[in-house]
Amino acid sequence: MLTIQQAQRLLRTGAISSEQLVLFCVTRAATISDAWERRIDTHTLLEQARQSDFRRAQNKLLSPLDGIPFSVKANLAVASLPLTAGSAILETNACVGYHAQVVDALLQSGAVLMGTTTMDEFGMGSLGINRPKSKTTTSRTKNPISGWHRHTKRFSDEEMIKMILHSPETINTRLQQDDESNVIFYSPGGSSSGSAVTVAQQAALFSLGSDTGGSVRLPAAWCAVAGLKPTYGCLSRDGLVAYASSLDTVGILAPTVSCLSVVWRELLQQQLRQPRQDSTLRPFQHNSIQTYSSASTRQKLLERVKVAVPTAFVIKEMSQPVRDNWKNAARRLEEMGATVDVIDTISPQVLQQALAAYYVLACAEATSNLGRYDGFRYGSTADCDRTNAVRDIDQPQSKFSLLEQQYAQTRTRGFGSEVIRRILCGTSVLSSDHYHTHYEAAAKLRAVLAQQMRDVLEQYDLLLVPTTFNMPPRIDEANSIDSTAMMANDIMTVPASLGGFPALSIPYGHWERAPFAMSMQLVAAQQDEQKLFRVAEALQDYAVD
Amino acid sequence: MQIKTCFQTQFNQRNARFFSSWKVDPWSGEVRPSKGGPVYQVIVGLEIHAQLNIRDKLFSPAISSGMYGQSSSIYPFDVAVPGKLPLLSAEAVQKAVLVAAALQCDIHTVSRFERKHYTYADLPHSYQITQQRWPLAENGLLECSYMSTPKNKLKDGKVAARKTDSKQPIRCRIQRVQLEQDTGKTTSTTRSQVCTNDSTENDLCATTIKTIYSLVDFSRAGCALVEIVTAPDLRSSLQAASVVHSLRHLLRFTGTCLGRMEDGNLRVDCNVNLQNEEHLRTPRIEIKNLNSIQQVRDAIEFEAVRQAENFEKLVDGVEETRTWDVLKRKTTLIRTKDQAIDYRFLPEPDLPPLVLNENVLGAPTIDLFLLHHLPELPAVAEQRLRSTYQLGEYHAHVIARDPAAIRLFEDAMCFVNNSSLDTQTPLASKTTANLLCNDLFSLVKKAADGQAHATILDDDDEVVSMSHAKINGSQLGEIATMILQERISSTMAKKLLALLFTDEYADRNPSDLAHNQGFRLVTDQEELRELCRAILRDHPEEVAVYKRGGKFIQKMNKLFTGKAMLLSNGNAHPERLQDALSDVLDDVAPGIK
Repeated sequence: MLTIQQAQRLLRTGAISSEQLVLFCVTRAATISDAWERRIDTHTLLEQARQSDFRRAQNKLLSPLDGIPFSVKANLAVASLPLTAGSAILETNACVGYHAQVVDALLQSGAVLMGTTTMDEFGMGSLGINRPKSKTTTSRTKNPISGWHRHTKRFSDEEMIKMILHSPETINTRLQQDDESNVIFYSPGGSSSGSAVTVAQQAALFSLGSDTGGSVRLPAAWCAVAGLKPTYGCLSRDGLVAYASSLDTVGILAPTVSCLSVVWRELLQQQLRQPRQDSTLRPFQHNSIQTYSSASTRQKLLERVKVAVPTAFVIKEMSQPVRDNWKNAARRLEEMGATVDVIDTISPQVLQQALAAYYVLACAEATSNLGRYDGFRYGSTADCDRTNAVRDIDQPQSKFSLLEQQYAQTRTRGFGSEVIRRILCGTSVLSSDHYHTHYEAAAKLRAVLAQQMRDVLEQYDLLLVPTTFNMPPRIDEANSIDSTAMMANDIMTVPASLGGFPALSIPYGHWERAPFAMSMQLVAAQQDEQKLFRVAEALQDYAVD
Repeated sequence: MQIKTCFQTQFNQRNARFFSSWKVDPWSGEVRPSKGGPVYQVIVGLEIHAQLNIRDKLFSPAISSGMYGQSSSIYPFDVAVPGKLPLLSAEAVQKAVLVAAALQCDIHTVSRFERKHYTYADLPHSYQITQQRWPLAENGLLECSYMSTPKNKLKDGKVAARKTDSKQPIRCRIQRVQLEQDTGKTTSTTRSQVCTNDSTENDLCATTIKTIYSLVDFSRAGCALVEIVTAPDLRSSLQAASVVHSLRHLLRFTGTCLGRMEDGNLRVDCNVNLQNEEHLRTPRIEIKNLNSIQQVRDAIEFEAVRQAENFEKLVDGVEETRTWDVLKRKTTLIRTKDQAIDYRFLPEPDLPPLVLNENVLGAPTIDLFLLHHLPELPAVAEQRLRSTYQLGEYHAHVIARDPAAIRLFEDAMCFVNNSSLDTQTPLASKTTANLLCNDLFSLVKKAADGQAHATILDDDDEVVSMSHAKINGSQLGEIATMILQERISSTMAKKLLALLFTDEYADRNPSDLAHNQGFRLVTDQEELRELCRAILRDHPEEVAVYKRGGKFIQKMNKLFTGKAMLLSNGNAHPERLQDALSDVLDDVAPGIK
C-alpha cells in the first residue's frame, strides 16, 4: 500500500508530482463510486495539486501533508459541498458554507480534499447499510476484500512510481480481477464505511472519520487499515454533525500507524492556530506531538512499556482464532521488551452492562441532537397538502396541529428505520418515567467503567484487546441480522468511547480461509496518543514482517 | 357612534371582572363577595425572564437584541446549523452573577447547563439550553416597599390604604437565578383567499379560505436570559406589581437588563392560586408572558376573581397554564397539567460545567468580582445616605435609586463640608438634596425629553439618570454653599443651575458666574430698609393708597415688594425684604390696619 511517507519521499525526489498523485487517486476513486457521498470535480483537484507542486518548486510547502489527497466522512462540514451525514433528511443541493475545523486545518496544510465518503445515517450502524432508501438498492459500499494481503503488500518505490504514472491501465486490470473473483459482497463496517474503503483502495492516502462507539475502529479493522479514535475532546468537533455529543470524536483512518501519527501531529499543530469553537476541547498538551526516538534493537523497542490484557473482554462469543490471535499479539509485545500482564480488575459484569449503557446514553443524546431536523431551516421538507391541512384544522378532532403534522411527515420520510428506532429509544429513556431507571443508571455505569479503566491505566501504559471478534458479514445477509445482535458487535470498542480514552486499531493476523484481516486495538490513558502510536507501530511492523 | 366606542373602551378598561359579585382588594389580596361570605387569600409567585444587555448572544458571538441601539444578528449556531457548537459568553455569566448578587443569592461556584426539550417552530434546536438541577444561584431575597412603585400605579388602592400599612416592606424570597437561551419570535398573520366554487354559478357560494401564516424571527433566538424564580411569598396584586417594579429597577441599576417590558426585555409569568380560611388551596395557575406591570396586576386580579367564583370546583382540579388576553382582558387556557410537556432534561454534553473562575469572571473569586463590579445596592445606599448625611426618607430614596446621583450628591457634600460652614449637617444635606432632586432633576428630565437617545433609563418610570447631568459635584456643592452662606437665593441657585446646564456656561465656576450675572443676595437689614425707603419716596400716590388701610395694605405691600425686588435686580433676600418693608412702612405710616 502507498503510505504517506512513501508518497512524501516520491514527491520530494521529484519522481512523481502531486498532480500525478492526485490523478492516480482520482482514477482509483472512480472504481469505488459506491464509497463516495460527494466528490470534488477533477478540475478543482488538479488545480489544487498544481498549486501544491508550485509551492514545492518554490520550496514553500505548507506542511508535510502538502499535496497529499484525503477524504472525509459525510458528517464533517466541507464548505463547497452539502452536509448530509448520510441522511435523506439532509439531502439537499445547498452547500453548508463552512469548513469543519479539522477539515479546515488539513486544507490549510495544503492537503487535497477528494470528497466526502459514505456512512451509516448519522453514524448509527456498524455495517454501513443504514443508508437512505433511495441509495441502498443501487449501490452499497462494499468491503474491498483481501485486506490482509493488500495490507502486507509493500511496493518498492520503483513499482509504486510505475503504478502511479500508469494508473489507468493498472487499475483496470486489477479491478477486473476483483470483480470476477468476488460476486459476494461483504460489509466494510461502519459507520465510517466510505472512509475506510477509500483508504484501503488508495483513493485517498488518509481519511477523517468520526467515532462514537467504534465507528472508525470497526471499518478500519474490517478493511485492514489503521484507525485512531483520539481522546474525547482532543480534536475540535466543530463542523461534525452531532450524534451523541459526549461520545463523538473525530478519528483518522490511514494505511499505517505512522501515517496516522503524521496526520495527528499536523491536526494538533493547525488547531493551535485556530480560534476555539468547541467548548469541550481540551487544552493543548505539548507531549502529544513529540516524536519518539526509535530503539536500536527490537528486543529493547518497548522496554518499560506495561501492557494489560483485561480478561473481562474475553466474552463467550469470541471464537478460538480470535483468542489465539490476541495471545499472539501479547506474546509479540513481550518479545519486544514490554511487560504484559493479564488483569481482572475490570469487572465483566460492568463491561457487559456498559454496552447497554452506551446505547441508552447514545440514543438519549441522539434524540436531542436530531430534534433540529424538522425540514424548516435546511434539508428536505415533506410537502404537506395545504388544503388538507386546513381542513384538518377546522375539524376539532384532529389531534395534532398543522405544524406537528408537518414535522411528523418530514421526519418519518427523512429518517431511516435505525435512526427512528434510536430516536424513539432515546425519547423513552429521557422521559420522566424512565430517566432515573435508565438514563441516570447508564450514566452511573459509565462512570464506574471509566473509573475502573482509569485505575488500570494508571498502573499500565496500555490495554490490549481485539477491535472486533467478528468477520465482516455478507451484505445480502446483513439486513436479516437482528439490530440488537448488531449492537453486540460494539462491545470491544465501546468501553474506550465511554471513558473518553484514545484507542487505535491495527490489522493484526488474518482469518483462515477468508481474505480478511483480524485486528488488535490498543487503548491508552487520556491524551496519551503518543504511546499508542509507538506501541502500535512496533506491533504493526512485527505483524507485517 | 363615538359614544358607543367610548363606552366600549371604558368597559374594556374595567375588565371582565367588573360584573362579578366578587371583589379583590389590590392591597391585601383578599377576595370576598360583595354580600359577605367566604374570604379567600391570593397567593402569587413570579417567574421573571430578563434579557441581559450584553453585546453577544449567550452561546454565539452574534449581536444580541437585548443590547440597546443594536440591531441583532444571527450566527449559524443560533439557528441550529448542524455541526455548530455553543460557546459560552463570559459577559453573560458576569451579568448573571451581578443579578444573583443584587438579589442576595447564594452563588454556586459550579453550575451546569441542561437541555430542555420541546418542539416548536421558534426553538431551532428543539431544546433550550437552561439550568434546571444545578442553577447559577439560589436562596435570595428581594425587599421592597409599596413606595418604590410610582404613585399613579397605586391610585385605585386609596380606600384600602388605611387598612394596609403602605410603608410595610415586602419581603420576597428568590428561589433561583439561572442562565438560559431565549427563543425566536413567532408572529402569526392570517391571509384570506377567496375561492369560487365551480359547481355553482352563485357568487355567494364563494368561500373564503383563511390561511394562518406563522413567521419566525430568529434574531432573538439564543439571546442571554436570566430566569428569576420567586417563592410564592406574595399576597396581592399590588405586592406583585411592586416586586416586579423594584426588580426591574434593580436590573437597570446593576446595568444587567434594559427592563423595557413593552419590548419584551423583561417578561413575567405569574403563578396564582387562592387559599380559603381552612388553608385549602386551588391548584396553581401559571399565567404566561405578561408584558407590563399593569398586565401583571390585571391578570392576577382577574385570576383571583375567576378562581373565587369557581373555588369549590377548582379545588379538586388540576394545574393549568393560561395566557393573558390583552384585548378581552381575561386569561385563557393554554393547557392543563395532564397535557403538560415532558421536558426530558438532559445534561448539556456540549458544555463543560460552568465554573466561576478567573477565566469567566476576570477576578480570582466571586467576592473580588463583586467588589469591583457590583454597584452599591439602592437599599444599602439609602440607609447609608440617611445615616451619614441625615437625609430625609424621600430624598434618600430618590438619590439612592441612581448611582450617578449618589456620586453627584456625595461629591457636592464633600465640597460643602470642606467650605467650613457652621451650618448643621441636616440643613446642608437637605439644601443640597433639594437642589439635586428638584432643580437639577427637572433640568435633566427636560433635556432627556428633547433627545430620546440619551435616556436609556426612561419610559413610564420617573427614573432619569443623573449621569446625563452636565454639572459636577463641586459645582453643585458650591451652589449649595452659596445658599447656605446666604450669598444667593434658591431662585438664583435655580437660575445658576440652568445656566451651567447650557453648553455656553458649562464648566464655569458657580461663584464667578453668580458674580458675572450680578447675583448677590442682599441680606443686610439697613441696606434693605434703604431700598424700601427709596421705593416709598418714588411712589407717594401708592403710599397714600396704602394709608387707606384695609384690603389696600396687602395689595400695596405686594406692589412695594415687587418694586424693591426689581430695584435690587432680584438680589434682595425675600423674607428679610418683607421685614425691612414693614419696618419702613411702620415708620412712614404707623398704625395702619
